[in-house]
Amino acid sequence: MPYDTSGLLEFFLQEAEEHIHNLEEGISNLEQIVDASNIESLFRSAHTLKGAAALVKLNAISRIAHRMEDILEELKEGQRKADNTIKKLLLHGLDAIKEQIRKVASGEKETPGVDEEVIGVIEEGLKKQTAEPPETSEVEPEIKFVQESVQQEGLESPVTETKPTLPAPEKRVSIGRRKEDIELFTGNFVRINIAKIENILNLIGEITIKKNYLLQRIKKTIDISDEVTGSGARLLKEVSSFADRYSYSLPGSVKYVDPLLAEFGELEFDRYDDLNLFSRKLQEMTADITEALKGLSEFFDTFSDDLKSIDNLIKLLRSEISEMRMIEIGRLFQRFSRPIKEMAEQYGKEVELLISGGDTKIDKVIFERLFDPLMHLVRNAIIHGIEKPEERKQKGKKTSGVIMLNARREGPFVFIEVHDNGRGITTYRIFEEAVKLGLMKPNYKPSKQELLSLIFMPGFTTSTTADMGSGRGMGLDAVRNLIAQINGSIEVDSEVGMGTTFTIKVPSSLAITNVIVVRIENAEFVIPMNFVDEVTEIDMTGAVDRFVHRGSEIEIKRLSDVLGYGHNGGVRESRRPLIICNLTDRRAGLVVDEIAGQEETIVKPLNKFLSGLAIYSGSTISGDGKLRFVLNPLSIFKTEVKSAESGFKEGKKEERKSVLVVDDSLSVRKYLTLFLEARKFKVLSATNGAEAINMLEENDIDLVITDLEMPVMHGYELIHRLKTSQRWKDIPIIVLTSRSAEKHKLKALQSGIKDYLVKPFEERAMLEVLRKYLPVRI
Amino acid sequence: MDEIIKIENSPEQEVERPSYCFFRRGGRSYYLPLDNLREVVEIKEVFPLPLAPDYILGAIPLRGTVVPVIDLAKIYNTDASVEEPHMLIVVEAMKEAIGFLSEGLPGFAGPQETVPEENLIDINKFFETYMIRENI
Repeated sequence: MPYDTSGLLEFFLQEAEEHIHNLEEGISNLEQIVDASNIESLFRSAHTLKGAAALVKLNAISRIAHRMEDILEELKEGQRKADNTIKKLLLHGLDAIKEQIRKVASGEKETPGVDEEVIGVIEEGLKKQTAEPPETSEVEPEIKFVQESVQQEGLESPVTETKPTLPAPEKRVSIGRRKEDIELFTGNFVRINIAKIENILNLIGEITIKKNYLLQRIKKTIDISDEVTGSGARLLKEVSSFADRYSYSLPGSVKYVDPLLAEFGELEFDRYDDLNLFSRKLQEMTADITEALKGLSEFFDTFSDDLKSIDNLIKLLRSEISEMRMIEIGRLFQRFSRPIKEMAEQYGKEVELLISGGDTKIDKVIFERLFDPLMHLVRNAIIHGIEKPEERKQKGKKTSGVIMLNARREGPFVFIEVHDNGRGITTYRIFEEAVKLGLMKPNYKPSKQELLSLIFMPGFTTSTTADMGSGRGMGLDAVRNLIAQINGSIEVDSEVGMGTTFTIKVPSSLAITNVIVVRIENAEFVIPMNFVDEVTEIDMTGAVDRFVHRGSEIEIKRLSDVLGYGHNGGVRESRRPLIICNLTDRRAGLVVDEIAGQEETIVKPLNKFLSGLAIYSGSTISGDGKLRFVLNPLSIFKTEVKSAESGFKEGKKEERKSVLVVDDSLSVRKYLTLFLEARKFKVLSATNGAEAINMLEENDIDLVITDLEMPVMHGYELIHRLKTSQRWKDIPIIVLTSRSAEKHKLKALQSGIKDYLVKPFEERAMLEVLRKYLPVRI
Repeated sequence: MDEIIKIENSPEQEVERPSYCFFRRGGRSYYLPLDNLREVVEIKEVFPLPLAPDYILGAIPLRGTVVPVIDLAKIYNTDASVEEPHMLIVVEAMKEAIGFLSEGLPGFAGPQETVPEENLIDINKFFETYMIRENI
């Protein structure tokens, strides 16, 4: 497949700008640099520029950068002194690079032979420097000039700003820094600290809250206005009926007769008394009030419209500013090309990198935090996925394997695929290990997806999955957790012989995340939508802790229990919303009291003071100014009994108690594990006495439940070993056996066990025994 | 700006700049270096933060950031029922804002005043000591 580099050029130009800026600033102040780490940063820039240019086949730029890199390395190592000649030569190289980039940016090709010419000038200059002691070296006037300007303007003032005021610019044209170069890099871009954008977003958030508050107030004012209008209408009605009766005087009721009107009879000229006048005034005033209220109502109508348009403008502003933090993901993908090449070489593989969807934009914060997990996946793909060329040949595949990095945007999410066309993951090995660990029954027929998702479980290893996560600092569970920190999730698909694809789903912007809002009592919390598979209902009558979801049994938890809210006065309502959470390696259900809605919101990382509360991954502020914490389902379902462990709230300082289950039957072990884990115990299991001893050596165990008849080491011997050990003699032992004969029971009790239960045991009886010997709330 | 400089530079008009602010909570006064003080806000609603230690009452939103509300009465074990705290003294430590419950507006103390050592809070040390650690 062809390697499409057309999109890469744009990334190169963006990246080059950054490095050129760094080099420009650094070289200009070269003499002031005393710290080797600063030269290191210049060296890195030249080095990256070299590599990136080579990648987009800009060989002249790459070669010049390479020569500059060499010089900077010599400076770094102290083999060369940073004097004006060196500075001049480095700037000469940099100027040439900028000139070439300008050409490339405007669609032209690099000037043929420019690299040789520039490197020639540099070599010449270096020879001169070596020949003459630095103190006496002749300094070019233009360089001297730059130095002067630096001294005059102060170090912080960029050289670019001093340029227009410099006299005799024509002198500088030969080697100096040309105006058009500067414009190329400063014309349309400004560098902004990301924190500034963050601050602007915060302010927009505040404005949104105030605007929402205003909207609420307006609503109230409109209500008041409506009420006044209603009362006004009633008043008007009363007044009109009053007026009907009293606006005109009744014959015979007028006490005073104007002498001027004496000639008119009562029916010939209306006469008014005080009441008539008052009634008329009332009528007029009410009409005025009605008119004013009408005006007020019209005002509120347009005012609400204005507010709504402000609302739209704020939204637009927010999205525009959020967009400023967005970077094309291709720049990230590009960073893998070199490590892939090197690693492939190291492991004797042939690997081709293909990139697609590089123009997909992603938040800078996510961009940066994706590097490590992606690197891990890419590394796995090279080391364990892609076969050696000869093996590929035997399989009839092309000798060079392909790693494909693909990105695409779907709504508020970005999907990133890391695909390799290597050997794929053999699921039967995962199944064997799952059975060994007691996670699956031997006769269980799991789906491929169910098996594949197990590779994300902490501590889960088969030779296949050990390979998949081995020796590289972190396992796939760590990859999953890193991705969860940016509210993302990961899934895997694999075909044996065809390859493996990891699909990462992350929100395109951390600033705006789609969340589901849940309410407990008066508090609201949110769950990022990417963790939510679906929302359903569950009957919570009784102590429910499992739920059958699409044919598989999943663990469920009540959010109110997790957060230590209790059960609303002990009443367990029958139907409750159940949020099915996707934890990558499994699904789990979170029962909430109420779902308040779904919305797009700005999620902020948690204040550092609170960051140890792993159950929350951030916070959001609602439109009406309510603070809501973002729940992390991975933490809710992974680190069990958080509430008991933290214990600060109600002064509970309970530790999770460990129970060791010793039984040769897988189903007993599995059943007991589920039963005990649901009651917040830490459960370890062993298949016989000897294994149990090993477990006890390595773990602190609070209680042992053991069978009597087991291979290798039976229960009586295990009990004897424990009771005669100084370290373990006080651990309470419960025997759980199918032997109900008195003889067995007596022997066991005499050896010092606490209790004797017969299979199949009753849960109630088991709980009673546990309560008796483990002082915890169950 | 000019005016302030003038005052500071003219010895006859020398105004002592306060170095500390102090506030009361649970029958005890607490002193903070003034440089740490960010602002004082009136508390309208504290949002609960389940599973946090009891000295963290919750948090409030403040201009887009989240400020944990800390009750020193819980840390120093003093009687918190005397007076209802209604102000929050927001300070900055380790580039984050945290707030202390206060029963009123803070007062200010000059550099000459003796500040009882045990009542002076070293903000960074406090932050290090009381921030919620991993895995809670």
